[in-house]
Amino acid sequence: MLEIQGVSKQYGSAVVVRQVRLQVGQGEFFCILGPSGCGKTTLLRLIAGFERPTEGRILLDGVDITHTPPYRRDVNTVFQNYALFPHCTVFGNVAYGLQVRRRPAGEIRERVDQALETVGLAGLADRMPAQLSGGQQQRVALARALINRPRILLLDEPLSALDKKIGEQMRYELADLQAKTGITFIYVTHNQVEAMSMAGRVAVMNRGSVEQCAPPAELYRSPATRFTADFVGSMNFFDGRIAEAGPDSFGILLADQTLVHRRGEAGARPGDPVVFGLRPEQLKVSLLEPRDFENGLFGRIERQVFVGDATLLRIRLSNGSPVEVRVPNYLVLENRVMALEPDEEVWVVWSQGSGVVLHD
Amino acid sequence: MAGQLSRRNDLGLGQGAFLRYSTGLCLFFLVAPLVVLVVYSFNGSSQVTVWEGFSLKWFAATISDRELWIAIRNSMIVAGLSALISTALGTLTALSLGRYVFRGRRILAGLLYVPVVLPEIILGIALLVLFVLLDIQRGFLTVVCGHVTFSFPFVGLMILARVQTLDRTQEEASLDLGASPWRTFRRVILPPLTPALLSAMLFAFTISLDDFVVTFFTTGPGVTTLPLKVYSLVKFGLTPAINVISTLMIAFTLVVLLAVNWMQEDGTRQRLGMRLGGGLAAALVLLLVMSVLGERRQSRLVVATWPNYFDQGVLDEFEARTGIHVILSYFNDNEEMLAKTSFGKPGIDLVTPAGFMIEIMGKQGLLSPLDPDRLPNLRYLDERFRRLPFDPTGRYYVPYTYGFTGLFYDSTKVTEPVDSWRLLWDERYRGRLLMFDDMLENFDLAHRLLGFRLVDRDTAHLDAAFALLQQQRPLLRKHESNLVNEMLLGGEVVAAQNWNGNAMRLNRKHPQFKFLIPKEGTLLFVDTLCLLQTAPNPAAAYAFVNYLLEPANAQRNMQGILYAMPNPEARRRMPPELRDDTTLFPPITDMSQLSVMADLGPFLQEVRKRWIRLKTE
Amino acid sequence: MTDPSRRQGRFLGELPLLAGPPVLWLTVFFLVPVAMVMAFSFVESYRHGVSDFQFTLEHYRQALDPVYPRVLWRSIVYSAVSTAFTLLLAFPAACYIAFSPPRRQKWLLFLVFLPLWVNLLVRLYSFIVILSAGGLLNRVLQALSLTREPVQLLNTPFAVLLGFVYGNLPYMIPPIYTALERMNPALLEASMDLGAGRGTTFRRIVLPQSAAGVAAGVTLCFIPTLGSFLIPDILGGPESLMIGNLITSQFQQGRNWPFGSALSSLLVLLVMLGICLYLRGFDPTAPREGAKE
Repeated sequence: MLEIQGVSKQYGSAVVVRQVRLQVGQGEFFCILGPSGCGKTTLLRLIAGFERPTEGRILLDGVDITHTPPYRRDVNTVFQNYALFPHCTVFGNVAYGLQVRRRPAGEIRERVDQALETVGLAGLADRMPAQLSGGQQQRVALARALINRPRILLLDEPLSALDKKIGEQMRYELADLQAKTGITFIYVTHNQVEAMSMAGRVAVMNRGSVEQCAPPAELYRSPATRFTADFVGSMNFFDGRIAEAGPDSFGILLADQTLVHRRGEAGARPGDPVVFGLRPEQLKVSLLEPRDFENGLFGRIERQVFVGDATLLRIRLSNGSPVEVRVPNYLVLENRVMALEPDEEVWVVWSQGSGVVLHD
Repeated sequence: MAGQLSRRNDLGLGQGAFLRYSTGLCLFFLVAPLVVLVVYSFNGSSQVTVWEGFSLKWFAATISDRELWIAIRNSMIVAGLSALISTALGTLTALSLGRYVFRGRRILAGLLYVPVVLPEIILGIALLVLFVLLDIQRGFLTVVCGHVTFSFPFVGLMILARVQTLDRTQEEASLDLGASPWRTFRRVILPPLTPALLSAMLFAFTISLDDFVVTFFTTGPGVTTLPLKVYSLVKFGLTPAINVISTLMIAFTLVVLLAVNWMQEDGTRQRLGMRLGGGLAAALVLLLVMSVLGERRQSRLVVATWPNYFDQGVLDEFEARTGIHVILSYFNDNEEMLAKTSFGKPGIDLVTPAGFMIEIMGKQGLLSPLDPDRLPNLRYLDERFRRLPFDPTGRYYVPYTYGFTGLFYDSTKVTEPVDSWRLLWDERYRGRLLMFDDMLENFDLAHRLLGFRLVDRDTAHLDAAFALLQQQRPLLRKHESNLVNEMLLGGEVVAAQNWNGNAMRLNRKHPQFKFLIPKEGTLLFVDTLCLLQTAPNPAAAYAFVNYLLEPANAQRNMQGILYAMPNPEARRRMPPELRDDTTLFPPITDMSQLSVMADLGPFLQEVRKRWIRLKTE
Repeated sequence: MTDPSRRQGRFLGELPLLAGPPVLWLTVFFLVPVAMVMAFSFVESYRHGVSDFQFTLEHYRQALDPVYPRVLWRSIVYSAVSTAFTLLLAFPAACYIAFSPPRRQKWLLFLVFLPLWVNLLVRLYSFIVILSAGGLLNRVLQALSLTREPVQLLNTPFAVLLGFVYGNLPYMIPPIYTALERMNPALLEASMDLGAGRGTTFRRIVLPQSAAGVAAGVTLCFIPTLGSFLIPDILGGPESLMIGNLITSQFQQGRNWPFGSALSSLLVLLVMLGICLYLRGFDPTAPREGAKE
């Protein structure tokens, strides 16, 4: 439905968005995820029409809207700071889009009431924005943007200004709302939890480019780049070289000459430099040497950080590089794990099937 | 606006006795003059500076002064128009500076500050030059242009400050929701700007209302604003009317400020006040428009003359008879009159120059020849005055008045017998002597004292006369032509040059002021009525001149202004004590006496150089 | 988020067509006329019917005749002296107002601005009433037996300076007040906390903090005074002629427009010089405070 074809945006010599290609389908909850300054907001503004791309085209339902002004695009935005009109009541704000389209007053009233109902603000129509809480303002902004029943709703970090709890609650509401209305949502955020919990697909952006675009689980399981792997969840990285690459055996020789095994990987030739990634939650700590189906590295516990549902162990490997291991605390709760002491020497082990190989 | 400092001032800083008293002094200094004005507006005296008991008579007199109301109306129109235009321009400026990056943006921003910092007089003369070179008649439009030029940069900067605080995303939200740019401007950008726009507009209105300098240079004689009216009252005859005007202005200001303050207390008042204010403003606009339209239909005649040179009753009757409204515009001296009439379109119909000026003005083509057939009342004039040497054919002028300069002094302060102009060089009266602010009167007198004649055009004589005037200068209070009576009466000076009519006016009420022709003799003058080449309304000018020549009118006019007119029939009708008064009607034996002053030609430049030097040093 | 300076959108009309009318206006009614005046100053003569547009430096030569530089110098001295007195009066008042509780501040500021709502001419006129021989001040002096004869106050340099100080005070107090009012009160507390007494705190903290306001106030007073002609005209005597009066008389009476233009150009030059000095001393991009409010 929405097609972004090789769009770039430059300000002077600074390239903010670089050759982005994306397709968003009808009724999708699409997320653009990336750190501050990665160009995600600019991409959103390009879609909204506030900016014009330096090159490339944007198509909506096959129609080129690259140079259509924002007020002729069937796309509405929920702004990060909500951008409610402070001089209009809640009703005035929500009705705005209908008023500028000169709908009859009766219809406006009806649809506004309905929209306010939908976002759970029935009865607050006559308030001024300044009299509302952050969460309520957020809902007004949402109702205002939805009232025109746009083809696409753009949301620019809408939850970042809210308290954590309210933000979490809003996530579910947004997802429900999206499912209920069937409107395509494009949601920009730097918060991976938000992205993962709501989106059908996530595009990870870094320095103006889309690094990977995939459903959340896939992103997590098999990140395509080191950046994605690191930004979505966290990951321990090991530089290495492919030692053997066969249909059944696949070995990577790490820098310290340790050979680790993994299940098959297509298109890799021995000798290629690779990065091998392991998520902290994939690792286990053991006093015993790794078994056959496991890989293992030897090291010493440097630090323990208790984070509630888990304990993070920072382990210095014998080759000097650090590794982070996440030990779930349910084991601790059930007293099924021995207490680990700092400076204790342990094995970090993982099953041979785990880990991702990144070519870069 | 509540100060940060003030909120946390338990340290007692900045509230010490010294600061308190000096602030008190400062505020007293600021406010006391205003209080004085208000108090003195209830003064019963016809003198500005002397208190004579409580009275409302000046209120009555001032409020019924039509010229004053016209001036107020003009001020309102000019201020209203320039406030509207400067707000529009200022908004454009602020929006373009506040939200666009474009080439020349910095230049525009810098340019905006220039009219703000440059002395107003520069803008005034620059616009004068512009309008004269473009040959544009000066009036409402030129004044408005001038006011907009100095006020819209202020307005732009004021609105810019607000624009910069606007949330850009609201604008985007509106566009996003489908509103066109214009709709977005109206519904999202304008509402938060409105308070800033209103206060900027009010500010522009105020500074326009208050402006004197730019108005002074860009207006024509037909459009007098309130500050110009006050100026002409201050310059050409102090009257207690100014006190009353000031009091009315202060009262108006206080009412507006208090109303605004009251409105700001809460929202409903604000809405009520807005509606009330809007209604009042609309009514005012309607009134102004009707008044202007009414005046448009009325024929106008602009006469450039000296103060107190036409009797108000005579003018009123002329208007009653013909429907022509006579506007008087005052000049300080013949030089100024020549300057004002010789550039561009002055918008003046009739002038009353001294006879010798006719030669100069005629040569420069400033005067229009008069058609005797349209002036049947010329027959009442003394034939001897019709063809004086400065215009032997009498084409250009109708003689209006004649008189002479004499010595006027306060006999309670100068007690010794007086018979010589030397009194004006008397060391004992240092600082309390007055000479005319008129180049030729000064140099003629100096020549006379030395036994020379100015018309001889002798540079050596001129230098001697100049030396004499230089010697006199430290003794003088001022050079002043128009406030001689006021300054004598107020005790500022004890002796002065004065014209016979002026002197008589004071002398009849206060006989201690004596007037005489000193033994060295004096300068006779004849003032004329001339039609300017550029006159907008010559028909009215003919009607007016003809009307003035009618013996009954001439007699009434003479009695009002106390200057002689060469109209024997009118003189015959005067009461005997005036008819035979030699001060009013100086016996003229030789008509050439009336035109001793002639066009001095290039010699005039020499005189002028010394005059400027005398005044400058 | 995106850097705001980059966010210069362009939807209200593609380009700053908005800037067109103001620029046009300033060009037609300000730049061109001022340029005309400058050009006029090099013209031989301009008279009705007998203009001579030949290039000449004669008017500048004439303007440098000793008489005129003296007037120029007098204008500078009057401006400087009156500005200094204004500052002396305004500074304590501005301090006091800035340190006052909000309600009192409001009223004090109201009193400061009150004269601005009354026309300058009217205010000058009140000085005639006060200073004249039979006026209030002389009455008071005589009642106190300080003098027997009325003292000459009107038409003296004293009257002119008084007029300037009076006219300028409402422009001097607000900028200083604003500068002080914006000052972070924690600075005072810090200073006193570190052991400085009130005097030291005032000298070391309050004074430097008010410098920008003082500079703005001084500029707001000095420059208009330099070109003023009304005050010397009405309150002054024969020896208080200023450059503004000379220019006015050239245009209103002397009919020597080129010479008047030369004098005006000199005045513009002088003002520009002053502004450059001001800009060198202070940050040009600093926000203007309290300018003619």
